[in-house]
Amino acid sequence: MKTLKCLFTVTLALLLAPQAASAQTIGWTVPTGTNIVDVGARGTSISGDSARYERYRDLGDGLFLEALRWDGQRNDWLFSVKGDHTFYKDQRYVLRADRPGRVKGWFVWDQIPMLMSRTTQTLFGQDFTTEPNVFTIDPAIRAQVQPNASASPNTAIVPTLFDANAITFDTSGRRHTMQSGLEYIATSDLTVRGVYQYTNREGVIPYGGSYGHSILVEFPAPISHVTNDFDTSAEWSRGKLLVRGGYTGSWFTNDNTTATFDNPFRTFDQLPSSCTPAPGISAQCSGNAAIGRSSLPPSNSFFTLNALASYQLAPRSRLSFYISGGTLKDAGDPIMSNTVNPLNQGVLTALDRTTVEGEAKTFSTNLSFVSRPNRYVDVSARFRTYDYDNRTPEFALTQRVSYDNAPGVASMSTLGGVSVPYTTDPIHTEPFGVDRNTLDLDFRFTPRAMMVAGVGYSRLGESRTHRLIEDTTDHVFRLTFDTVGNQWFTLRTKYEHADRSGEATEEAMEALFGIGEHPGIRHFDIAPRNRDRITILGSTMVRADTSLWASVAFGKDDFTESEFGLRDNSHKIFTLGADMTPRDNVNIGASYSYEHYNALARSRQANPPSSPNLLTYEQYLAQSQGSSSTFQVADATRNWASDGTDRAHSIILFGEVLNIKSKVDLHFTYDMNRAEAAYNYITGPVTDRTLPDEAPPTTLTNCDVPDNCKLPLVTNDFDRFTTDLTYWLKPKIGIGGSYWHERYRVTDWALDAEATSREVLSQAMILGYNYRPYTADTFFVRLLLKF
Amino acid sequence: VREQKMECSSCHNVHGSTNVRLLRKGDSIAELCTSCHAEKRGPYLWEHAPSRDGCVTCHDPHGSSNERMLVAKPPLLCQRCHVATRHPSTIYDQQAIGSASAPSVRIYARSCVTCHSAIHGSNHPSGQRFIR
Repeated sequence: MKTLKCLFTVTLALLLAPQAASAQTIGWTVPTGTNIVDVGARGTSISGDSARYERYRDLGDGLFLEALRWDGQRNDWLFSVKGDHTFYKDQRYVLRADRPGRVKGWFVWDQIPMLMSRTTQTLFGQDFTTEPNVFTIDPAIRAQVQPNASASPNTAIVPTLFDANAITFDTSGRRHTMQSGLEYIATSDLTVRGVYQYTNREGVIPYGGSYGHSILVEFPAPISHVTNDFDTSAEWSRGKLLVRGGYTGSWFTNDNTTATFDNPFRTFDQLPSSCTPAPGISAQCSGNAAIGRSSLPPSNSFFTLNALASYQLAPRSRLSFYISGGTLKDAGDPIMSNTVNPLNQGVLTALDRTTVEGEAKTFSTNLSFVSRPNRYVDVSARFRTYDYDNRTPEFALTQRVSYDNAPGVASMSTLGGVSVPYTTDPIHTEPFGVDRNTLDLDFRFTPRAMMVAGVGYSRLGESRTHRLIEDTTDHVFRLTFDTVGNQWFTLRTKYEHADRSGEATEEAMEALFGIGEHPGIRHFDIAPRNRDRITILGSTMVRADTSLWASVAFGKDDFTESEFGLRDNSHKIFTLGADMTPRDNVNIGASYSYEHYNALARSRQANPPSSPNLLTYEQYLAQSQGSSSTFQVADATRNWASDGTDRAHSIILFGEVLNIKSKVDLHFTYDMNRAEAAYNYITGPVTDRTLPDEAPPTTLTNCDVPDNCKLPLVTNDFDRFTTDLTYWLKPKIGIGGSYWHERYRVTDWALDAEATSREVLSQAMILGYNYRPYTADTFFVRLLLKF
Repeated sequence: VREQKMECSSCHNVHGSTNVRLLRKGDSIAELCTSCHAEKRGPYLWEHAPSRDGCVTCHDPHGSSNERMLVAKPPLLCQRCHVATRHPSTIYDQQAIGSASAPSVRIYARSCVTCHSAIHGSNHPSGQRFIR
């Protein structure tokens, strides 16, 4: 559903950009083309979650140099200096020098903070700055959980220990970006361009580690990344020919590619005597770990070479060809051992290899032809290919250490309850690759001025490795009708039908059964589906000073062969708006939008069979559409569906009155958003929305009590009001004041304060990052100096 | 967006591009996303195929009401593809969150991803299920 929304949103954003721009502006807008300094002081009163109010910005109290703008000219050169939020964590500076027709250079420094929480807590108490990827708990605290290896851990005491010893810290991060670039027009035919970008990220994010089912630990995983990017190109054009060649290189370095963390619920490793501590594993061991280690993102590099040639054909036609080839590699770091648990070290077998050897080749081409041979017709044709060829060698897994607990034979459990060890069915990694080719054909006809009708067809063919459906083909048909270029009335309409097909082979479905998945599952990103969607966007000038606009979009995806998984996905979006300019210095507007999304996904709640009642693939197929008292996995009366509905209402009001008595400018904006999400569970077949189901509906879990068979509403309410008043004492000196008000309310069964109020449960220690409401008021007084 | 740090042109070039959907960088949606989120670029030992195939399978870059701009709320998003036995196919209803003493760890906080943290891919040799 969101894919549909993406396209609609972009289209809508482009159409509504002029109207939306005013409403999106927060507070006073720095005039363009004016040399100005905006200084002053700011203060905020806030109740509730101050971190969420700031999030990606710094609204610290005190003096500010909010904006600096200077444009200058010297000889043939144009210079520009822009500064925003100076000395604050979200400061940004842009310097530009431009000698038109010859050379252009720029430098950008941009800081983006990310403040997630000021109230997160943890028992991990070490200095995160010295060992950011090793999370330890004070041994004295751990001793209270388990004083010695022979004692059973007292997990019930952990909440008490947490209350007494947890530290409170900010979960935050920041991204600093420096970009510099130069564009040089060497001759009238040749332009060269080079851009270098340095990005540094620092901070922490919540990250989870598990020691087995229901033993859960969160820690603040370190972020310490540097990415260096180069992008260079040379473009030569003469007459009808344009040629461009380019190189891009990107090197990503992560200072922490592993994280080690203590288990707060166990102090000593445990390895049962039944598991022989000798090289080689002959049976599944069981044990419990007091320390674990997780992987974090690997360092890598990616570079591409690309070239483009474009030729102007007569009449009004152009043929272009683009080709690009790239290499993506990991940094060659060694693969960590299967566990950091010291008791397990003696029974670890050698890994299949010592480094990831991650490498992928990319290859892309794009051939396009556009033509407008006369004023009635224009056509475009494009054929695009993209190949992601993953050359990372498969890695054979013979021994697995789950949760760092205990080494065991790498095996897969089938849906029938049989555990297949690696000795008969080796487990390998699946280096995923994809090869796409896309043909787009569009024909547009302009029978009369300002009226365009179009028809189009696209074919998207994709071949993948290591997916249930390896080959898919999507046929897309579209019709459009537009009236544009008329100052009084604009209409854009589009209807699209798409049909994606692809076959899950019998072999693939049996392989699914072999890894414990239902053969009837179809992953929705590759599943066969029909798609229909309609978009209508219109605007009209009802008077010279008033425009009205509206849009409607609705559509549906039907996953026609999915017994399990996402079954359908629909959306409806309506928007209405108006803009008025009753006087030259007055602009007001309002809009309302409603969005509705619905999706149905299907599953079967079941435990696997256990010996001696095992199930073969053939037996499963024979039984899975009926009821079964022996095999839950084959019992269709245990089917259920989640019916999820998202609704969002949004109102935007904005207005500005400028130059009142040649002294005063006034702006205001108001946004109101109300969103809710409902999740209901349905047992048995769903009429018209699931495949034919022979089994009668039944009850599962608590679905015999309807109110229980759903989740509470998730709600998000957000209001924002801003107003700004500027009084110009003199043409170049102004004083002003601004006021921002924001209010956020949330109920969320997973992430609100109530849901996460018990950071420490009997077997879980989370950081307490959550969604909490806030009400914030920020006041500005400012002095504006034009120069 | 609200903080004025990103705008449409951060990702799209309305004047045209060689990528799909007028994306200004890379030759695929994933290449555009990982030009900023390079830590998700891999290649990993264990790949979560949908994340390699296209970030937008799970994320809506234009925004959503869900944490990390997910297209649906976990665990329901994950359950759209994972219908194995035991916890992936369990109904997490009112009772899963209603018990004051022990709500299910599979639904509260970050749900599935709290344990399956390395969901974009893992270089841990036992990272098959993205738990390490």
